[in-house]
Amino acid sequence: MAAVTTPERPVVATAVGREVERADARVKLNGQAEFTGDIRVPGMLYGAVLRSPVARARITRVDVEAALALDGVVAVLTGQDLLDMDPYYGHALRDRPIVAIDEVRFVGEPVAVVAARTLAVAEEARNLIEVAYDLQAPVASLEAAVRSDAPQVHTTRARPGFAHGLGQLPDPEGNVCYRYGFTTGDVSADFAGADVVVEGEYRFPAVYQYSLETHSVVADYRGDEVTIWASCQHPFLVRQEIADLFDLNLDRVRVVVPYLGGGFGSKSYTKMEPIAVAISRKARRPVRVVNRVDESMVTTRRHNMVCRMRTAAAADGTLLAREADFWLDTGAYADNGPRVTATAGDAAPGPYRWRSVRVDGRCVYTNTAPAGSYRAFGAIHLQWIGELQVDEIAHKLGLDPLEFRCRNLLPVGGEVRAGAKPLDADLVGDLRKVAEAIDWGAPRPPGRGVGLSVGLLAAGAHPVSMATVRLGADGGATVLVGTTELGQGARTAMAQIAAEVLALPPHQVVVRGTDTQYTPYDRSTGASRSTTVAGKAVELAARDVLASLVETAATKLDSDAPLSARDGGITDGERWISHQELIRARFGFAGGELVGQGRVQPSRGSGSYAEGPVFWEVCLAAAEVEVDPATGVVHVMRTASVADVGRAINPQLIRRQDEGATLQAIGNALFEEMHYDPEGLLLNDTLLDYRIPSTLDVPEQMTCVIVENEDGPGPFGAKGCGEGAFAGVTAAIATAVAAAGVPMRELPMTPERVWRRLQERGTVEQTGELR
Amino acid sequence: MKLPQFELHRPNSVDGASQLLTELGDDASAYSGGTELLLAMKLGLIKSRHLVDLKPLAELRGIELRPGGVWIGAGVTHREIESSPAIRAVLPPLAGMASQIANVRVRAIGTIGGNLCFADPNSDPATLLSALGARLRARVNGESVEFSPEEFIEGPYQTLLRPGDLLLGVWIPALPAGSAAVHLRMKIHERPSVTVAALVGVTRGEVVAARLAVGSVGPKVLQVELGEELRGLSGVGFSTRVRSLMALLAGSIPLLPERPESPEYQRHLVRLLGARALEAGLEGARN
Ligand SMILES: Cc1cc2nc3c(=O)[nH]c(=O)nc-3n(C[C@H](O)[C@H](O)[C@H](O)COP(=O)(O)OP(=O)(O)OC[C@H]3O[C@@H](n4cnc5c(N)ncnc54)[C@H](O)[C@@H]3O)c2cc1C
Repeated sequence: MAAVTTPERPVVATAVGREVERADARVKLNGQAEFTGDIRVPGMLYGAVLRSPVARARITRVDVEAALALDGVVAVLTGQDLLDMDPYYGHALRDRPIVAIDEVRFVGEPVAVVAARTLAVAEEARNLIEVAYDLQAPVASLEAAVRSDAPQVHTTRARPGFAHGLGQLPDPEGNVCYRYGFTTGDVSADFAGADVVVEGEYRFPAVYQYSLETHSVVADYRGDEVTIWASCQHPFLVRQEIADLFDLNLDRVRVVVPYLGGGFGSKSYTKMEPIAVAISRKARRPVRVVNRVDESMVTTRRHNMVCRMRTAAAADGTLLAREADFWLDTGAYADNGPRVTATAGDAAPGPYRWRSVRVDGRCVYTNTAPAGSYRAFGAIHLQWIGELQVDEIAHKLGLDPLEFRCRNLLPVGGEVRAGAKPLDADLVGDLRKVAEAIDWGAPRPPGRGVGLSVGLLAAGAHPVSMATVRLGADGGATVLVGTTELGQGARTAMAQIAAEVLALPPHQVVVRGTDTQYTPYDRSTGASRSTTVAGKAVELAARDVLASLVETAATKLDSDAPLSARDGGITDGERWISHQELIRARFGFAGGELVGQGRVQPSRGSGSYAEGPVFWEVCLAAAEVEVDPATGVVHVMRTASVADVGRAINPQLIRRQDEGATLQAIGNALFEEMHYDPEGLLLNDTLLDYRIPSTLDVPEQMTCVIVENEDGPGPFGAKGCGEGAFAGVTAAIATAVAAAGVPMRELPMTPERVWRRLQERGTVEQTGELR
Repeated sequence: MKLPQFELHRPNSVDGASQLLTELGDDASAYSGGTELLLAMKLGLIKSRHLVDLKPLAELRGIELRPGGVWIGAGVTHREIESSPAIRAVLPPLAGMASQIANVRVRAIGTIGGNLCFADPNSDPATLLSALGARLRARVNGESVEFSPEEFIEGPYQTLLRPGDLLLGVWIPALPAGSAAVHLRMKIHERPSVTVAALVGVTRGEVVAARLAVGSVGPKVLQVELGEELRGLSGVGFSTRVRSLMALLAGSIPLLPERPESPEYQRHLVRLLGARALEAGLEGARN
């Protein structure tokens, strides 16, 4: 056969490693991007949710008559409508009814839902529903919940959910719904023989996972099928949970996910979808349910926590042992509490070479809003505490905190937790990089402090993802993958991965939102897993297409030389044929397409949490702060974090991840906190009273050090990022504030708390004069 | 949170606006930048079905340098104040204060009149204006009347304006020779937690006049004349007296209930910022 060289061979740069323009930048900037709240389905009604004003009560009467009588109201759903089904859901524990049945357990718990022709009518009707509550004393704090005579938030034992991944669940004890712990070595002997022991009790606040878009759902229940448009991070898990709840086959539940206006974990698992489906089922019409901010704040939040920790070391600077007991407040329903507890437990020791460790974490029910996932959960809870203690020991021994850490950190391949994947990152190398980025050794004036922090986060969740790549006759490709684009740039990265394999320009690869009817299965978007796990599936799917191209090219070129993709075609090094031409050659006319499949599944064991993780995400950072001793105000001047990503698919997206996480860390460390009163009422449920970080809080310098050792399990040696900086920077701010003379034991480090701590320590004159 | 339905009126004079507001009574609100009003309406705290737009009224606009002071129309935005060359030249602390309010989006449409009329106790302008001896000119019952900021704001969200009355603008006397004004505030949440402002005058290095205003902590701005107490002092003597005065003042100032910060800490901040403002005032007046 004659040599084929197309004269118009383009030059296509490699796609991976480049800062290509975000695939969603233009539509988002010009306002054309579609979010769930924009969706209007013919015949759609508007839902309004009536929420409990009290934290704990028996419902003695619900009167919906006046609401139903209002013109424009189509249906009202209450707990009584759920008697024909098993209405309890929860991926970890099936402890939560779709709407309250006979009792309410937190302020904000949905009690009824109205569907009406307009939102105004729905809201008016909601306000006409009369509910009589028989009030009971709420269990509104961790302290109240763990007392031996505490009332039980749940009196019946919940069944395990379908996706907790935590093996056999332990029996609940009182309000403790899950417990996770482990012991290695002889802890009491090591503490007894230690030269230095530090200990303390620490508190971590409940915080709100603010995102621009609130939880939004449109549900359309028809016959025995339901279509759901939802702002969800885990469409396939939502599909499964809805199928279970409403007793439908998986393929009768269709979940469609447009762009998300942020999620950060708040839209993981199932949130407002069951309510929307239930009211649509009752109204026999599509219904839209969109939370207000105050409603999203009680839909999910981050766990507040109390922790007691102690750490032992030898005089020569060897870390010996650590003990941690902690109590996470998961609110009235478990949500992702058990997983958060396990992850926190794994983060408790910190990545050091311990002789012995004892960890005991409890996940506790209280009569407050349910707590679930939020970026870097678990690690962010424990890392700042462990790292404060590491610094305290270094201080007592007169050692440099950097060298002290380097001496005790786990090496590559070290055992993080018995039975789990060995450490796959160079922590000492990473730590030295962030230290350098903030001039670790440089002298500082009084009031300034620099801090370091190191931690690990079990990342990847359950490693099951599928992807499909379709290469069209015009040489353009479409990727079908279940990853949710929530602002992190997933669609851009996935396009780059497929483009790299097929040697296409990334903008010639289209990635759309998930529609479970067409998109192959992906477990979830969270746990920093998408680029690694779903990205690997995309790479494999693209390679599947590539194999077909190479097969055709081999016959066309009649060549034994190795063939590879280059410049939008296949080449043997000398000759080149475009993909278009190969597709035409394969199908014999100007149509057809190549479809490739990629599948990722656990490579070892079952992929369970015990044997996981897919990779260890480093949570490693440094910070420099300035503390005003007169006011207690902490100013974060500089931060540095490490994105140990194996291979940077798109460095710009990685930096933006760490910058976003850094700002959230500043909020969590310095000012964000949900305040509950003793009756379980959330006091600051507006964005005026609950301040979130803004551009005004950006430090003068934020450095993201990208480390590329090509050691990840993902495509091209990549591994995930995006969460580590949140835990790392939060802890680094805490250690930096301690280095400035104020070791805090409670987050957020508000000006008043810092000022009080300084007063306690007697380091400032009562008049609070500046030096 | 959606804005409820309302009717927008666009009168073309202050007289017209006032008349309309009188006719519509409690069912109407004056609408300037809307940064407070629209938020309060979204939250259902204000239920006006008619909004009377003041933005187009030229009578309420404009910053004018006049003999003896500056006139700022009620409809002037914080952004206009912060970037006005006239104010920067004559009253730099006022430009500085305006530049610290909220964020640039709020400053670009929020007005000084709206701030004063909303009378949120956590606010900056009234405190500085009080220390500067400013006069607020309002149209009350059809007549033009002047008030001090402390008179104008009666308490949280309460001014002495009644339906149909309008704030026209603010007259700020020029700083007397040999004096300096200082505005300091601490913002922990979205709004200031403590605001203080001082005006200090000196002759030959010694204090001849001093005034302090404290806002954002109590139900309304507190203004104290400290000229008598501080007269003739400088250096360490001044600092010592300022400290004891501030301890006294901070210990007795009325506080708003249910603030996120404890009374102890708020009083500490009043004492600290008050002393810093007076010290900086003396320093500024000497240069
Ligand atoms: C996020 C945020 C942060 C803020 N931070 C600060 C801060 O740091 N410091 C600070 O001092 N302030 C702060 N503010 C308040 C800000 O200064 C005010 O929102 C703004 O100045 C109000 O002006 P406006 O023109 O938008 O008023 P509008 O909302 O239009 O009106 C407010 C009220 O005044 C009435 N009104 C307006 N003009 C007149 C008039 N001429 N005569 C009679 N009545 C009138 C209206 O009827 C309404 O009741 C903040 C506000 C926000 C939203």
